[in-house]
Amino acid sequence: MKNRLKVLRAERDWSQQDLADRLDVSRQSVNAIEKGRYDPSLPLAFKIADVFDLAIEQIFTNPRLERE
Amino acid sequence: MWKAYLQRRRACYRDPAHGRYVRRLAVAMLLYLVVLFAVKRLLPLDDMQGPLLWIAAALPGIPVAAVFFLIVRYIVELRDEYRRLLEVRKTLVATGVTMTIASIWGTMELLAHASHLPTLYIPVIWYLAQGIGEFVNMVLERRGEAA
Repeated sequence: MKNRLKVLRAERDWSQQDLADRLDVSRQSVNAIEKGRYDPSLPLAFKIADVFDLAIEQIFTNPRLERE
Repeated sequence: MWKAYLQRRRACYRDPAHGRYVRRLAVAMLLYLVVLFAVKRLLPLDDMQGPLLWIAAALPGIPVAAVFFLIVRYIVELRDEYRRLLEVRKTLVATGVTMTIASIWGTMELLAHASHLPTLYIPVIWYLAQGIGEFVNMVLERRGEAA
């Protein structure tokens, strides 16, 4: 699933480790999510949205829209 | 490749579940050694027979079996869900490898008179096969494949 994590991190000048610390996950998790290798669970997606103070759909691209 | 692998290992160590797992594993292994020593040195196994001998002989196997429950508990307690997924995949690979070896060796024993493989080797093979699982994880991560 595509997402805007890298851009959002860059806007805040956060490293992957900074974001990982805020989410209480490993840096590898952030890397896997950011590169679209791993789709986070709904609770983690909400946590990510909370950290960036955005809605989930402002961070993650709806897979249906991705295909269109 | 190795840099990413080592970074992942370090990240794993930060999860409190890993520390708990290592401590519990150390206790289980210590128990195994103590029970094995006690059964072999303190009990008259040669003079024992029947159910009492079976129970005494089975005792050292209990701490070995406990290791599998500790691994399950470790996976459940992991806070990092991506790390949990990697651990589950590693465990599934190890199970697949072990069952493949057991199945093939079993038919070779039956049909080709291959030397008997003691069943105590099966958990040892499974534990070693976790290394293959770790390698599979490393390769898939390196190739950037979706988990």
